[in-house]
Amino acid sequence: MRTLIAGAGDVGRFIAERLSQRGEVIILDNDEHALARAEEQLDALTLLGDATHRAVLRRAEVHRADVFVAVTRDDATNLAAAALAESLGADRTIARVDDPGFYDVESGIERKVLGADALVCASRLLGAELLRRIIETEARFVASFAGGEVQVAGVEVHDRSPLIGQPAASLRDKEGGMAFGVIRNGVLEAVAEIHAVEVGDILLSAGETKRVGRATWQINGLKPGRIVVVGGGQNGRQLAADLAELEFDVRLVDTERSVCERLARDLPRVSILHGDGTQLSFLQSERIEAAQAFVSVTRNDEINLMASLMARQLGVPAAFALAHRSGYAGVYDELGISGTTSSHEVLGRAVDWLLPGRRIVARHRVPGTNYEAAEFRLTGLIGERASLRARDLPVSVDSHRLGIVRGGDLVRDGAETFRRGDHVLIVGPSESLGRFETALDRLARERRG
Amino acid sequence: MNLAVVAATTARILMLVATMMLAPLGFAIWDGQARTIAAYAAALVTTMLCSLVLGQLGKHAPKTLHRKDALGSVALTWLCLGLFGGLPFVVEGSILNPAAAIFEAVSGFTTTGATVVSDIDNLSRATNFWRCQMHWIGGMGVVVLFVAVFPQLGVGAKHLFKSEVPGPITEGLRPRIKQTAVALWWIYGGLTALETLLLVLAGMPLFDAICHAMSTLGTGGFSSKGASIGAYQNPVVDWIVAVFMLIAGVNFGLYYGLIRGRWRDLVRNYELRFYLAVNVAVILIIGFLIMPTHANQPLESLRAASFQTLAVTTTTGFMTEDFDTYPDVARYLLFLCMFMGGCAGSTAGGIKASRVFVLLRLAASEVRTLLRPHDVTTIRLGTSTVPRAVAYAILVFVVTYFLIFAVVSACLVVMGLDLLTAMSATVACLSSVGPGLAGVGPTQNFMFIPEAGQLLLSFCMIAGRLEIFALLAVFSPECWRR
Repeated sequence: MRTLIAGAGDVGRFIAERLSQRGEVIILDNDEHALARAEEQLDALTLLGDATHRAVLRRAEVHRADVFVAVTRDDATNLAAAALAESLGADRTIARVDDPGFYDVESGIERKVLGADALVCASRLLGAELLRRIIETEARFVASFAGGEVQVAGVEVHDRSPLIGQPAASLRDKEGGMAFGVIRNGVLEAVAEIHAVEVGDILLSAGETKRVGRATWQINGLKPGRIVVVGGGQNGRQLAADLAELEFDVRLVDTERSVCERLARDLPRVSILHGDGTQLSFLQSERIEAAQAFVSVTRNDEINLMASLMARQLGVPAAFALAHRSGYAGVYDELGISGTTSSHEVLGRAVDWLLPGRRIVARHRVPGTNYEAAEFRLTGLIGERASLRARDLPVSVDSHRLGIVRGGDLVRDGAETFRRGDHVLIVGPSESLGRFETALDRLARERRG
Repeated sequence: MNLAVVAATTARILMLVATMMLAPLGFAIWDGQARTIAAYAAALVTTMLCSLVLGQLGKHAPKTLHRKDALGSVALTWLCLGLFGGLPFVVEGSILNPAAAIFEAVSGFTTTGATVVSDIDNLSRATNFWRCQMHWIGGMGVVVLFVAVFPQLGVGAKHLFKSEVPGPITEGLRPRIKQTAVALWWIYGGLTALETLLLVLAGMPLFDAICHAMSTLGTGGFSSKGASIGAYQNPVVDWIVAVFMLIAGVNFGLYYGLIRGRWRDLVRNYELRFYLAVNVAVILIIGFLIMPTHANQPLESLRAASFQTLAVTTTTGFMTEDFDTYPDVARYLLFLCMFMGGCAGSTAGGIKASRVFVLLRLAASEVRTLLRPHDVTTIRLGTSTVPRAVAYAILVFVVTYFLIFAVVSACLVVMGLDLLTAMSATVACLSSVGPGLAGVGPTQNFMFIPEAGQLLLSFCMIAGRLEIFALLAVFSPECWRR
């Protein structure tokens, strides 16, 4: 696979490193220092030039590229570069567009816009990832699929849960049932078979991140608490909006008065605080210790680190930080920060997800069991002539089909016909998933004839 | 530097070098010369044993190869090349003095072509082949060959490649460094095969043609004849070798572009144009100056001037006649050309045409700034500009180059060499030209130089081949910190 990456920043280099293991990588940038760093770290070709110049793209032989990924810091540059690359013959184009206002959909990945095969939104993907981390504080596990947009969570039922004695299917929201399975005594049972939920059961839910978050809090009848977010940039704003939608008491902190005023206007359900998230007196005066979680998402790694450390010291049970520079995550862990994420991590995962590859996209073990949740590509199974329905898949009796991964969502209808680009999410014993993979390969061979 | 990683990497490279020794061993067996067979068998076994020992030392080495490890591996490899490459000469008895044998091997691998052998015509076929094969391997680079044939090393391979092929402004040919190395070796091998074929068609015996083709493409200069190319007295051979010397002195990346249909790159390349302009100018001046000694025959003068000039500017060092007998102006011009060498990305040595060109532009820019202090100037090369950092690096390289030149030639003078011999011997080794002027002229050799001087010049040859800093870095304490 030949990949052309526009942008040699942290994100570009991170994606290049992952993709250079799968094929040839060429990195384009008009910043020679960024290129020098890429040259030093990667076995990839570097080219100095503007990715929105046709001559530069031709010099990079864009017509031979299987994938073109534009991940500079500028949305307009990325869009223009992806559109140009597509017009010059790149097979598949992906552009990073961080402004959520550009999107027609709620998710962080949108397909087929302005000539680009897919647009990826770092702030939304980061929002989803940070939300996943917050959900994790109340769950046994939360595993990410669909490039970070779909989560599978397992929540242990406590003795105060309103679901005790109720059928598992009663865990619902306005869109329908939220549970898809219950692990009781280490065995996965279908929701329909659990007529009375017991203490110690693990309820599994799957779907878009916010929905899984809502289910997690509902299972044990918890009231969403206070969450402090430091940094009123695009990432902070997105996360605050997501959390507010889940009815958390969100406090968004920024040092710039004008930014705070704009945030107050745009996010009416969020408390906007003007102050310095690294100042002890400010944090104390805002009773930071009462927060359930603390998230620092400023542009500055050092501020994120210091703010999170102070929050931990003041007694906040979980503090998360954005780490822009790769390699910082390990240091944060050492210092006792509950978790980190970064633009390059979430964008890298999204790009990986969008590209063709092995049949199993991602797999995660359900802790304490021999079950795994896995997302499968349906390469070779969906053609123009032959249609395939979800219920026709050769899923063994001990496994459960969670749904079709389509865009950033999970479609649960078994009668639904697969479309190009769809994946399927299955949970079951590890050996059954192995058999399922083999069965899909065999089916693909048969369909090829 | 992680010594285990360095040992493991060098072990693998040495195994490759040992494999290369099978070729001269084959010639020795073919010719049935017992002592020569023993010499090459001993060298092969010793190299393999050393490789195995180093392999054991690096058995538990981590897989990641950092820049420091790459520099260490390349430096250790080049040190070993001198030792193991020179071993057959001593065992065979063709060069008895170990320091001289190391000098000959280093001269071979660095494609210098300076020799300590006075009676080349009586060397065994195996030894003549080995001398030219060393040029060929060293020309494109043994580490580059290793990167080309060894399974993926990731970014470590890139560090290895860049340690052996530093260059002022390097551009990769293919996205992966392994692909680049493979492409370069294919082009290099193809050109060698083409020259061999043409030389055979021109009447040169096949063995000689192979040896001279390897020597030409590596811009080495070792010949299987004492009188070098002049021994054939064949104008067609002269022109073929001259053209291929020129080809070897040009950036091989341009040939890759040519194969891919990017012939415009060749036409627009500022370095190539500058390099050709310098060569044409020097050839015309020397041709004019030597006309009286060539019976006033313009074509004969042009042939001699072209061959000798290209032999020096491409740092090959072949000869068809003794250029040390030319008029002083011609000798001085050739002496100056020894400093410049060929193009970056070629197998030629020297400061490199691109560096000289950038320096000239830098000087012009400084003069302009002096006259118009508010002018903001950039150093333009065609459509691109040279970043200040690159210009600074070039400046530092040239200063260091001349510093080494000054120190080493001073040492040689102290050892008893005359001024011109000392200076030309130093530049001939540092730029990997081979023959110099006066005592080390084209018809002389380096045998008379004291052992210490030979070892010092061997250091110069390796420093020149690795473009100085890659070798100097290994002497820095920082490089040895883990």
